[in-house]
Order: sequence, then C-alpha cells, then structure tokens
Amino acid sequence: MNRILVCDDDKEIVEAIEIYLQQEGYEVIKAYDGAQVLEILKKQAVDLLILDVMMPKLDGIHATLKIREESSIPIIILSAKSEDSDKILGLNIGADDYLTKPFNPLELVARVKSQIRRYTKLGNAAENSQSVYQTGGLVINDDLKEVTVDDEPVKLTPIEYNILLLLMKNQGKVFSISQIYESIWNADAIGADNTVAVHIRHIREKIEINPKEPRYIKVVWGIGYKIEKA
Amino acid sequence: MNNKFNNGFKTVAALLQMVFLMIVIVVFSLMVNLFVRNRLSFRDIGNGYSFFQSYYYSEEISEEIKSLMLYLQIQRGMKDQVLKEPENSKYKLYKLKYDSGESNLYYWFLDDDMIYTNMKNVKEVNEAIEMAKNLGNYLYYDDFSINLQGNIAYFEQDFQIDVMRLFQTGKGGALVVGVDTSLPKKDSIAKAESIYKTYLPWIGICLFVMIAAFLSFLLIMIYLTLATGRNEDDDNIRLYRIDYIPTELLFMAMILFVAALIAFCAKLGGKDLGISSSLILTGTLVFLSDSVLLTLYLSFVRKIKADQFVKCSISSYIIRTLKQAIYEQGIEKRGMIRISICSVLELFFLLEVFIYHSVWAVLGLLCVFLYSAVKIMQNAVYRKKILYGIREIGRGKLDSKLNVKEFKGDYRDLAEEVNGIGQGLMNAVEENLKSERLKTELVTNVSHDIKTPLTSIINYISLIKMEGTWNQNVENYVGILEKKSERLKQLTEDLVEISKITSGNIMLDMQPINMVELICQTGGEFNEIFEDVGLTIITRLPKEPVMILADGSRLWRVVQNLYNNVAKYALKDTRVFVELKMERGIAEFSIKDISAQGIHKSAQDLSERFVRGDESRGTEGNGLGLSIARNLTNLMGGTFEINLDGDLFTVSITFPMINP
Repeated sequence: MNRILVCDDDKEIVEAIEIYLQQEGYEVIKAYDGAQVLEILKKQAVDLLILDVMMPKLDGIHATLKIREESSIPIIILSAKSEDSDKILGLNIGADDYLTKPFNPLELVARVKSQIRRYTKLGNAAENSQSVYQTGGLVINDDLKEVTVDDEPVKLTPIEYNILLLLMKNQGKVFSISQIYESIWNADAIGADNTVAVHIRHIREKIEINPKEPRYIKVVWGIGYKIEKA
Repeated sequence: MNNKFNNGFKTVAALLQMVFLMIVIVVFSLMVNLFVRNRLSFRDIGNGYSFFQSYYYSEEISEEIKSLMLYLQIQRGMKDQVLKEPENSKYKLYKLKYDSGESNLYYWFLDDDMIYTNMKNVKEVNEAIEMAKNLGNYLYYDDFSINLQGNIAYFEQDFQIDVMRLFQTGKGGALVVGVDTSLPKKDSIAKAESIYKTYLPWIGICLFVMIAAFLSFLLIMIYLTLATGRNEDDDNIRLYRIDYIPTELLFMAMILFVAALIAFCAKLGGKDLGISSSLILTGTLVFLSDSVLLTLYLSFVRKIKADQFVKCSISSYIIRTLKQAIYEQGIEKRGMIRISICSVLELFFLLEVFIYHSVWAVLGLLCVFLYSAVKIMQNAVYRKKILYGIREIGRGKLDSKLNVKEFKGDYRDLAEEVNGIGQGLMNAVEENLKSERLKTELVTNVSHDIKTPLTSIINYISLIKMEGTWNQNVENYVGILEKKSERLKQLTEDLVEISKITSGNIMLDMQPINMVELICQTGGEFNEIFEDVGLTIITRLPKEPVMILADGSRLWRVVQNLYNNVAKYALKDTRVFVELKMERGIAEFSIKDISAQGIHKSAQDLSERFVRGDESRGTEGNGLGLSIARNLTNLMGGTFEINLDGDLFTVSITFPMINP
C-alpha cells in the first residue's frame, strides 16, 4: 500500500483529499504546514507528497526546496496561484506536478496514480528499443502498435495513432496542421479545415488526465502542435 | 438681464440718436444762417411783437438812420466843396433811396440854418414833427435842448451820441425822422417787414423742434450709455474688439478726428454757400462725425463699465510691467542690470560721437552693440533649448533632462525647473502604476482567498455525489451546486485576468502567428461543443497563411471566448459564420451568429465588464468573456468591434498583417 502525505493548512481540504485517496486504496498521512511535513518525512517513508503553497510556518515552495536536498519522492503542488509563472516556478524547484485550486478531486487522484506508477516503475524503464518512444508516462511502442499512459493501455484509431507517432518521433518539433495532414494522408492539404484539430483533440481526450491542460500534446496556438521533449 | 437691452433696441436707439442730432444741428445751422445774414434778431424770438415793436425793426431803422445821417453829412458838405469819389456815388445812391419819393422814411433836418428834407413844403420844425407823428413812427432830436424823443423802440445807447455828432455845435438845429407805418412804398423797410412776417413763425417752430430733438437726443444718449455693453442674457459687460484698443490710442483718434473736423469746418466757414448746399454739407458732416464720435464715446462708456478704462491702456501696461519687474526683480535681475549698463554706455558713447566726434567712441558703441547682439542670440538659444526640453516632456519622454550646465543666469533656474517638471511627472506616473499594481494584487489576493473555500465546496459536493442513493430532488440540488461552484471558479479566474489586462500587468509573448492555423485549431476544439447545441459552423478561410504578430495563447483566449459566447448565446439549430478576410494589409476575423434571446444592450455595453446580452442569470457565463477578449485584442494592437443588427450578432477583430 502506497503512503501519501497530504499537506494543506485548510483541514477540510485535507480531509476531502484523504477520503478520495483512501477510496483508491492509499494510506494517507495528514499535515497542516511545511514544518510538519519535514518532521514526518524524517520519521517515516512516504511514496508521494501533496503540498499546498501558501501555508503558515513554512510554505510549499521552501518545503519543496528542503525536501529536494535529500529526497526525490514525487511532489504534487496544490495551489490557488494559477499564474503560468507560479506553475513554472513550482516545477522548476523540483515539483513533479502542479495543480491549481479549485481542482477536480478525480483529476487529483488520476495525477497521483500517474506519479506513483512512474516513480515505482522508474527502475525498469530501460526497455530501450528503436521503435519505442517515451515522454513522461506516455509510451508508444511502434512494433506492437501499442500506446500506454502510466502503463494503462490506450486505444487509438489508426489516424490518431499515426499523428501521435509523428509527434512522438519528433519531440519538441512543432507541426502545423497542413504538415500533419500531408504526412498522415500522404496528400497535399487542399485547404485548411478542422480535421486534424479534431483528431488531436480526440487523442488528447484519451491520453490526458485533463484535456484542457494537456501534459503531452501541447497546442502552439496559431502555429501547430507538438509534444514536449521529456 | 432683460430684453430692454437687446440689440434691436440699441440699433434703433443709435439711429434715432443720429436723426435727432441731425435735426438739432441742421435747424441750428439754419437759424444761425438767418441771423448771420441779418434776417432776424435773436431778441424777437418768442415775444410775439409786431414788426414795429420788434428788435429787428429797431436794428433795421438804426441802420437806416445811420445811412440817412451819412447822407445828410454828405449833403451838408456839398455846400463848401465839390464832391469827390467815392462820396459822389454814395450821394447818388442815397439820393435815389431817400429823395426819389420811393421811401417810407421821411426826414427833416435843420442845421446851420439850412434845411434838408424829403418832406415837401415843410419849413417849420413843429410842422415836420406833426407830419412825422402822423406817419406812425417818428423821431425828433432838438440840438438846442439836446433832447431825443420818439416812439421808435429799442434805440441803441450810443444812438444819441451819433445824432449829436451830426450837428455843428452851437448853431441850433433839429432832426425829424418819420416812418410811414402803412408802408406804402416798396423800400428796404417794407422788405424787412415782409421778411420778419415770413420767418418769425418758422423761427418759433424751429426752436421748438430743436429743443425737442435735443431733449430726445439726450434721452437716447442716456439710454445708450446705460445699455451699451449690456446684454439681454447676462449681467456681464460685453466688450467689442474696439474696446481692446488702448485708451490712449482711442483718445488720440478722437482728438485727431475732432481737430480735423474743426479744421474742415473752419475752411468751409470762409466760403459762402447757399442755404440748401450748406444744409446738405452739414447733414453729411453730422452723420460722419456722429458715427465716429458715438462709437468712440460708447467704447469709453463700456470700458469704464467693465473697469477697463485704465487697465486697457498703454500707460497702465507700462506701469504694470514696471511694477512686476520691481516686485519680482529676482527673476530678471541680471538682465535688468545688463540692459541698464548697456543703455548708459550707449548714451555715453553716442554723446561722445555726436558732440566730440570721437573715433574711439564709435568703437566703444560697436562693442556695446556686439555684446547686446551676442547676449540676445545666446538667450534665443537658451529659450530654444528649454522649449525643446518642455516639448520632449510633453511628448511623454519624462526622463529627458536638460543639461543645466549649458545654461547661465536665470535660464539655468528655468532649465532646473523644467527638469523638475519631468521628475515630478515621472513620480506621478510611477505612483499611478503602483496603485494599479496594488489593485491587481488586491484582486489576485481576494481571488486566492475565495479559491480555498471553493476547493472544499467542490470537493465535498463531489463527495456527496459519490454517496449516491439520494432521492431525485437532492440529486438535482447537488447538480445545481456543482454547476454554480464551477461558475464561481471560472469567475474568480476571469476576475484576476481582467484586472491584470486592464491594468496592463501582463507579459505578452508576441510571435508571428498564422491566423488560419489558429482558427482551424479552435474549430477542432469546439466542433463537438457546437454539435451538442445544434450549431453548424461555416468557416471561410483563405488558402494561404495569414500572418500576424500576436501572443498565440492570448489570441486563443480571445477566439475561445468568442466561440464560447456563441455556444452559450446563439439560437439552437442555426448556422454560425466564421470568416477571415484580408484587405489592404489588414486581417479581419469575424464571427456571426443569431442570438437566441433579444439583446437589449448596446454593442458598446456588451464588451463592458459584467454585462451579458441576455438578462437571465440562470445560464452559464459571467459577462467577462467579451470584455477580456476586447482588452486582450487591444493590448496586442488589434481592433475589436461588436455589431448588432437585430438578432444578428457580429464580432470582428482586425490585426495588421506581417510578411510571412
């Protein structure tokens, strides 16, 4: 049973998270400020940490910095600060995920699961084959024509699969709609239309926890689509 | 005030004033003409005397008697010597006048035992007196008793002396003069009588008219004096352009005009013009001079009323300037001293040059002039520099500074002050920015504080739903709670965003962007949402890329808000038209839909914060969408326009295109 430490200065939020996580079979330890978190981490082993940012005594950002000095456990930051700059800061100091309040509890649970799988799996991820592409928890095996997200298989249509493969093979590169169209359908793009965009949305709905805040397939508005380099 | 001072009244008054003055002057000059031409005597006006009682008659008869006496003297002289010219012709003239039997004047003159008379066959004094008395008017002078008697009225005081001189002293003599008052003969007396009778009644009328006209003139002048400068609308004194001419100049003009008028009249006075032509001339002159003098007079009156008589004058200006210079000498002290020294030096050198013809003084004068010229040019340069500095600040370059060391004297103070203005403005701007930042911070903090309890609400609603097994009503209620909490979440996020956008507190990542790509991407995101509510999107896009400069994710936010707006408010089962046009380097994106409910707001209101097209509160959306879209578009340098044509709702966004 995985042990999760939940820390927020708002007790009701901690309790609600506890209920959700217990339903999924996790063991939950509760803390209400950053100092408590550090104390608990010293005493017992924890598999994942959910951390609020604005807290008394020691805030989430400083707590994360302290924890990262000696531990690499997955940390999900939970914050009312929804600015891009806040997210970037959180991820840069070593958090693995950043979720803004108010959050959908089911999304939180999904993200917890994803982080735990990746963390426990990290050791045997050396399935290095020419035809296997990976970013984060997303793995596409071109030999088996198989796509998994955090080890959960995902079912894609052939076109969706080809689009995802194209983006995964060229991680970090931005493909415009007509480039995608030309390489998937092997035909000139006659005119602009929604087809590609609709497929991309469908892929996102299948592989992302929250399609509106995609982790893998990013939209570069007015330019194209890309998958961020891991 | 009230309408008794309106312009119509004033114009009429001015005209009437001129007419009355003209009447006064014309009648007056007419009468003067009559008197000057000896047609009438002043003293007869208004006493109603008959001709023989009038002063005019007495004047006339005095003249007659004087000429008679002259005639008598000539006659008496004839006994000693032969007459020479001009006495001879005079004698002939008088003889014709008095002795041809065509005169109403009769005389009987005894002197030195000689009798001169035109009374036939009268040898005795008493007889002559009797006859003269019978004629009506008579005069009798006895030289022996030095007694003058008669019934001719108003003799001049010195008449008796004149008569006495006629006689050779000691010899005894008498003069009897009689006038036939029935005036049977057509002589000069009869003529005078007819003139008197013709003109006298007119003189009375003329006088009356003149006085009446003069009084009217005075009344109207009083009215004009009161009315000028006043207006029917307000109590303020209105000044005309002429009133801003300095008082001295107006006075000079008036004096010059009056002098010219007098000179002209004096020149004319020498000439003898007919009555009618002199009347016309008088009228013209009066018209001209009255217009000029009335204008000047009223201007003075207005000036006095507006307290500008002294203020708006050259001397007052000079005094004021001097006063300022004395009170605030600090400002231009050096300049004053410089000017004084230069003036004294110039005067000194000029004296040297003109009195002693010294050459070195010319050189000195040249030096002083050169120095002044250099100073004037230097000051001009300083002024230009300071003007430039002020202009820079005016154009928003608040940090531009003048180099104070380049300036001297008072201009250095000026330059420092100009720099101070820039600094002060900059501080104010910073202050303003700071307060905007604080506002945004406040909104952000408040929204953070709202988000924490909202998180609990959302989480526990979700927990309630998981409990299940409620009756239908509770499930409905929970559904509503869930929706509302979602909306509250959206609202807090939008609130932060709008406050950031309006305070300009966001960073834009401007990149070349293909509008076609963006619209296709958006279409892909929305096509199922639109299908769910039965909307069909008709998209018309150009084949080639349309490149603009924008922040992609913000532009997505704009377009997303517009699409969301359509999804929420468009009429079910209708078509939505999305179009991208290129025209003269401008990319125009437009989205048209048919509104489900009538929109009772103006297009302007719709993009204001918190205004929604439909008034119902039940549906989604918080009214911030269009406002955010508009503000973001404007921030990125685009235009945002909403059009309402009945239920047809159009939003168009334009951006300048860039080369791909």
